[in-house]
Amino acid sequence: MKLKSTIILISISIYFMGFFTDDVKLHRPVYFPDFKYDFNKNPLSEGKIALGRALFYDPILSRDGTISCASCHSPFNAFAHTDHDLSHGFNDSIGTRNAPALFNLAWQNHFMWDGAINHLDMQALAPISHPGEMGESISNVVYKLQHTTLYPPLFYEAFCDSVITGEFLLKALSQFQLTLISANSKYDKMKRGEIEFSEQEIKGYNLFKQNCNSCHAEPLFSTYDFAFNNLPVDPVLRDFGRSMITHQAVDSLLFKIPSLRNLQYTYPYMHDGRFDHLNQVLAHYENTVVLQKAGDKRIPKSIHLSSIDKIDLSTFLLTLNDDDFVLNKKHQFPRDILLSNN
Amino acid sequence: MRLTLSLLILSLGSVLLAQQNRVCTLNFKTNDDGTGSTHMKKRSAETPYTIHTFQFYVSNIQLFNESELVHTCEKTAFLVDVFDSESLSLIIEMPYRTSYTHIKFNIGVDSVTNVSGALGNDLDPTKGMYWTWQSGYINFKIEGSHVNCPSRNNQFQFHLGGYRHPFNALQTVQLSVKNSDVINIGILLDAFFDHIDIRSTHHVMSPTNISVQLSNQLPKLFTVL
Repeated sequence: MKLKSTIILISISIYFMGFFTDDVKLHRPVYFPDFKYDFNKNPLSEGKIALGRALFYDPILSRDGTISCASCHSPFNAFAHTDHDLSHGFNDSIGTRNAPALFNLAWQNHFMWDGAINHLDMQALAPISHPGEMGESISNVVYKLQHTTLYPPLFYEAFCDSVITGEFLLKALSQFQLTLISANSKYDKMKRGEIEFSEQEIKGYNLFKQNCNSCHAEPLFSTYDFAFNNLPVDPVLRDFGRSMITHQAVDSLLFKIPSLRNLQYTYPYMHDGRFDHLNQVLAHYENTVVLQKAGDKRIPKSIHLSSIDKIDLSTFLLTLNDDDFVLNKKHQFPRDILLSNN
Repeated sequence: MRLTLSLLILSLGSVLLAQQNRVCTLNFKTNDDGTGSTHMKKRSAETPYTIHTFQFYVSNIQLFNESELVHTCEKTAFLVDVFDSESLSLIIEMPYRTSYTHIKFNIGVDSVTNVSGALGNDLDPTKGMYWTWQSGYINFKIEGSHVNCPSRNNQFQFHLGGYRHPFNALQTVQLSVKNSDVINIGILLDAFFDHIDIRSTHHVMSPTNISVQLSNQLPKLFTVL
């Protein structure tokens, strides 16, 4: 009798150990705030992350099989879209905005430049369905995936169910994107006491704290709030940002504040990619006085920087580049899955 | 002998357990003569409109005995598709001996559910009841044509929803019911069109003021048969 219960107890423990070893915990640097993403509703596992990574790089998500998430979110550009001011998609359509970089998404509640998306899980629905991005529908993507030989086993491995659903698809995509954590720049190493900043970097850091930190707050280098940044409206695009979602006049011309991390890789800058170079961005913030919008207290009327200040500030901003993140093989195209014989 | 006894106890137990539940079926009907919804696909002398899509969410079903809440349905949201007869019957299980005088439910999906990320079953975004360009569930979707509609092919599309202030479109329906195991609820579609000037309002597909105004009329569509 005793033996029997021992055997049962051991089998139960092995069963649950199997579960627990599958659990993946994201590393949160101690100087980072708490996660915004609720992992209890979508606990990370190796299988789900691997599935999400395959889906992220697979153009099967688009109507004609030409566009993947990575088409506009390249790992070598910190998952942003460079070389184009406006991102382009299905059938050579040109969009209205520059695709934002993807990293540190677990610390964000709103997505897109106008915050149209309220949860990371739901974000992928927008590009999949947009006629100028992937031109597909989520139900047809599920149908296509179900009829491959590749995906039903991957979904089974991830969710213990080979019947693919929209929920599983979206959760898997979230899981891969949640692993895109950028926290190993020179700035991060300084924060952890591994290295020291040069004199010039310290000067730049101080200038940053005086002039930029209210919107591009450390350590994520964005509050991820929405702000008016004095950019004149493009007469062709007529993009009014957040107010196009909320229909509130107070939200007119507010755009989501992008992180300054990895800025060397994520050009061109601003929601419509209108600036190719960092010095154009700095010049813009020097000349904001004319376009200052009443009531927005966050942006100083104009930021006065000497030419030496600008070099110091730029030197600091370059410490936010995270080469380890950009070159991380775990984030790149999954050859073993997508180039297999399936 | 011991085995037989155990089996007997087990079967007796399951009989007792089965008695613990009362099952109530909530049937949505588009008219009261039992012919179902097929008439809506054809325009007739009485109905100046035809419908080809008609879906809505029923959520947070609660049963009351006078003012006392006696049961809250475990399943948070049901997607009712008028052209899918199976979806028209909602099964509510509650403890045995529960009795009720009122039923209360939402038409649509509440704000908490709307910001909860990817959900499954009836709330799976593949069901076509989720906006893609902007997060949020469509609470009530109806598409078809109306003789007075000035659009191309007289078509109208109403996708009503919105969870965020000031465009919260969620509606609550409260009805007096008999304490029976079957509750039949009629959908009075004519009432929907009675409250719309179809000549000027025929396409609503985003969470705005109009979506809220039209949603405010939705509780009038539901009646106990």
